[in-house]
Amino acid sequence: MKKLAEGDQKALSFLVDRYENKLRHFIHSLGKISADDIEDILQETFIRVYQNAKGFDASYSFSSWVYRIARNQTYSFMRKMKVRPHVVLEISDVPSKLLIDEVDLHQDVITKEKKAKLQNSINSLPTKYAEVLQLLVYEEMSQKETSDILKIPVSTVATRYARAKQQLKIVLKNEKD
Amino acid sequence: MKKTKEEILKILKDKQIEQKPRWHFQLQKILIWTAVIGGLIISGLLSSVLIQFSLAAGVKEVIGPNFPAIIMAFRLVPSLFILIIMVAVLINSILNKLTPKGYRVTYLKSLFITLAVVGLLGSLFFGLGVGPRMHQQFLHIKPYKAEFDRRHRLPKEEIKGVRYYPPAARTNR
Repeated sequence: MKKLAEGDQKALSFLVDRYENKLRHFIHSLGKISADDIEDILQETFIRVYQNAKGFDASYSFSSWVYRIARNQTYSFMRKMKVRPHVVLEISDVPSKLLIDEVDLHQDVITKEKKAKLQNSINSLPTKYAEVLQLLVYEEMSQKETSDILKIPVSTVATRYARAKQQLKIVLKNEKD
Repeated sequence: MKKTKEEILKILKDKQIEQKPRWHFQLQKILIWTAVIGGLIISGLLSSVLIQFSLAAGVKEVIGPNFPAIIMAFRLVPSLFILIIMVAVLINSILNKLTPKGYRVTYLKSLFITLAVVGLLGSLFFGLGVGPRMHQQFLHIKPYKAEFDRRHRLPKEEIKGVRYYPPAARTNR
């Protein structure tokens, strides 16, 4: 980060290599955006990172900072295109197992049907809850990092996470019945 | 994968995008904190006028001793009270949205703290004699004076210096 603040473009290349895929996945999860648009947002995000490198506050983690820029860029793109933000999470095995354990509903092997149910339930969650789930469960971030990205207090992150799990439980229980 | 990295470096080169200098961020911080401190001083001064207004006119006679203080303050000079609240909300929004760690405290909590600070500053300014002086100046503003006279039917004679109405004078009215 120090090298980037000094204007070293090699440092930027290193950061692009490191965060490109993670951020692409994160931007994709924030709404229905085409691959080309995701690419544009990604480029704009890294350009902002380069431009504002000297203003980076070392009390934050770098990943929180870069995710926040990506989130802001995505939302401003959505505002421009008049697209409503809607978190779309894709179920990959490990996080969904983790989530299922968390909501304590299925202890057995995850079937395709259950995965689909979980996917639908997550997609039906309000954006503010889904966003917290996305960062805590899928991106495996800490509550503090999530708080820094979403710019909300840590206690609010914890509350939203608890409510998201509660809503998931209700939705999944209804579907089971 | 390579494409994104190359594309970004190409954009930086073609558009000659430079990094923002350090002073840009320092200036931004200075402006934010100037706005916060300035806002606190303004709202503190306005609250000291409100305190003076209520004391000079004998609030208890008008509204009653057990009336909640905040409603009492609102009923006295609604426009002044609303102005103080608006400045406090503005300060709180700046603190919450623009300062690096402002969001770590919930909006309501920080609004409550801001209002408490405004109240304390108001009392401090009042104690230093700024409130009474400002109240005198505010009496030159027609709507303020009209409000003051309407609510408390003050004597019309001009009194030089800081205006003081002894309790006896108020009860005789």
